[in-house]
Amino acid sequence: MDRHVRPAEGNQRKHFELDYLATSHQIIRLLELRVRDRQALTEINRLIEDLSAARADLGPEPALKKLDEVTLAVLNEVDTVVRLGMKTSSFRDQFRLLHSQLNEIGARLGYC
Amino acid sequence: MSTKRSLRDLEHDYLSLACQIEDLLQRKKAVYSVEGEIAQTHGKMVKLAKEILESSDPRELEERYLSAASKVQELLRQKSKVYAMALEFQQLQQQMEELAVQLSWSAAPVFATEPPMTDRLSRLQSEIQELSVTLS
Repeated sequence: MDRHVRPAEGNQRKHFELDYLATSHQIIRLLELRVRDRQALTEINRLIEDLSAARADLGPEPALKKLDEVTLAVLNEVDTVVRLGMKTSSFRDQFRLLHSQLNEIGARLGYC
Repeated sequence: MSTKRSLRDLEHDYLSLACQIEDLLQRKKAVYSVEGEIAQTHGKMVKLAKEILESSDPRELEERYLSAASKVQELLRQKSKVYAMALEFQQLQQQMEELAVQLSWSAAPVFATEPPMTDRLSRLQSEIQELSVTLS
């Protein structure tokens, strides 16, 4: 994209501004999902810590011990799933693509 | 007497519309000032995007980008109000044209020898027409 292109005017500018708004909305959604995943991981870790702290107060009943084991296993599993999802997601590619589109529209609007 | 009063009312309406247009232009001018801020925020996003794609731990950078993108969206929404203002301007201008016809300003110069107030309103009408050309 030629960075020295003359900024759009009139109706054309209005259309580019709407495109910019739509693309920035898509990026925001993408980043919000990313942030939500991170918050989920933080919450899972907090729950695992709470569980560890409460372990000492558990009675000797085998059922409680079993419940503790199962709960910890579930939390660890969820943690793994979220981490795996984040690692295998196409976030970076999507972000790169959307930002590149936004940058092009921005250049047409004279923002660069 | 009643005709004079009516003319005075019409002139008052005309002046009131002229004031509304002035207010509209002030608001439009204020909204245009966000353009620089949008460009500045966009520049920040470009820089952050580059850092995000190069970073091994972009958590904080992503949150800053998210914040900047939200800000630019809000600014663009504010700016989009300018387009609604153009419609508002056209409506006001139409009302003024109708009043000008009623005041006979748009026909023969009936009020050529009228007091300065009429001349002033006529000048305002010319200025508004010039502004209309600039805005369209």
